[in-house]
Amino acid sequence: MAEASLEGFSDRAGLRRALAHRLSEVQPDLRILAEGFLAELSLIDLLAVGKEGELVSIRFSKPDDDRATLTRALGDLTWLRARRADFLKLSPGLGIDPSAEPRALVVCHGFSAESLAAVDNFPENMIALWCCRGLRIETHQLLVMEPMSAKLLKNPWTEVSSATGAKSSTAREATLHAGMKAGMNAGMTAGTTAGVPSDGAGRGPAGAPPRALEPPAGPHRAPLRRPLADPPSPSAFRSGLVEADLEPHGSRESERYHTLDAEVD
Amino acid sequence: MPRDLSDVLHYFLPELERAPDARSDVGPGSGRLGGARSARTTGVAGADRAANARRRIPWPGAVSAPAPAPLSVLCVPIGERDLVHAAFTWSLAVETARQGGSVALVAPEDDRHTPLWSGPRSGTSEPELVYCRAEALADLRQTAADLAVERSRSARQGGIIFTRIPPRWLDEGGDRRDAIRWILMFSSPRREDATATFERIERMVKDRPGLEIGITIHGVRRIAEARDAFDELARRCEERLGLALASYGLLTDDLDIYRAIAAGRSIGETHPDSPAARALADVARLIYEDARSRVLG
Repeated sequence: MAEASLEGFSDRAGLRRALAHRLSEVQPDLRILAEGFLAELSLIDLLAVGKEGELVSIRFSKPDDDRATLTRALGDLTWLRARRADFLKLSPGLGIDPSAEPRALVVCHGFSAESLAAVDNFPENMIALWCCRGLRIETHQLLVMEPMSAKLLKNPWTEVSSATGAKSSTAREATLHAGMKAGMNAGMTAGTTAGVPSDGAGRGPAGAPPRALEPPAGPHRAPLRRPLADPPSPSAFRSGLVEADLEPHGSRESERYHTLDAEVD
Repeated sequence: MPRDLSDVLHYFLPELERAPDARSDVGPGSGRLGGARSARTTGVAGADRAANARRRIPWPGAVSAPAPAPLSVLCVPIGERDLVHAAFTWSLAVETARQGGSVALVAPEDDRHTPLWSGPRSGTSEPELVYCRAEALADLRQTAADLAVERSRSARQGGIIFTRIPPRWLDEGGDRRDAIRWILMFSSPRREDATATFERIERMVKDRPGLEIGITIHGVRRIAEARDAFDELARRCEERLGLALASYGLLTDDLDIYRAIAAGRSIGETHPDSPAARALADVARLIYEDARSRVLG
């Protein structure tokens, strides 16, 4: 049965395969080495090698679990860094460069403001955040992905709608879930999400800032919502709640996510 | 809200006090404000600074000990029979106290004879309920302001003085002695309720420039419903009054709220795991953070 927290995929393995397939399209320089690769304590969804020969940990996060997944991804960096030479010995043909710093890519339906702010403390490209959304077309379950906006990553507390020409009064929410849903919708409508120009190392189009994980440009580019934790700002709706918080006790999505996480990991 | 460096200066003073120049300029026993004033002299030429130090010339307005910033006073218009909004306010006060804030609720003396604040009140995070012999808004505000100063001395994490204001007092027009700055209003997505809220805001801001108004949308089942309602109200206020509203989240349309009202208890205490309690905690957090940001700058 399809699982909402897995973007409509019935199990984690199917999701990983879809993730690998989508990444091969939007990040063609990434070479996927393994699925469900056991790191220190938990499984890395996809282990890959980047074009610089760096090891890349790719993790999918269920909604509301992005902070924990981000922490695991950071742990992966430490774990992988110590094993670069071992990987090279085991598989010299993979193109692993033992001097290249590992990096991580976290994929989630939407990221909290805290995650965005946390990532901004790290060197460029060390941690990349991508939003994703499951999409069902007839019998096929697809995964649509989009890197987080560079502006949002650079300054997660500020409004980015000015860059998109969006009206700010509607552009605020506790998390970026709804905003990224809109972004996903726009990306799918425009048919650009799968074709995000990239240099394969988590960077955006040529000429963009080094950390530029730019969403696709174009008329359908959607506004990104401002996270909640801003200082009070005029006339923007604020709430730290997500829809699951308004559901009666016992049916909260987040509780299911945690349970499923424990089972999977 | 307009702020300048003086609003937040006291947060930097302990560090500045350690500077040798600061100590020498002010002398022992000087308070933090004195230290700060001295620290400002670091930009003055060295000779002038030394001369000032020799003569022990105090800075104008220097005081021996700084008064802590008073707590924020949040005024809530609640009618004499408005049990629901009173319950919201009491629950917010309780929740703010649970989150670490120093909280009191000021109400007119006449409220003793109404069911607004009656009930068991047996919760552990009980805010202080202060009745005030007020006959006008200014009296009520003065009591709240005095309480805000008094409580600030022991409130290490800030806090809020919730003040129940009879709406008719607000409608009587502005008075400089009122000095009301911060108001919380509840509104629902219903069109007539939103219109009534807008009209009340219009009357309030007419004679009170600089008033800060926050809105909590209640009676909703989904976040989008609250957002739409707030956006609509905010748009009207911006376009017609040039007023920017602050958003203080949403409260759900939940049976637990009415059970709590019937029990005379805070929503968070009676049904802590309910969606209503989660929404209430979120609103309290937003208000509390805003209250603290008024001090922190």
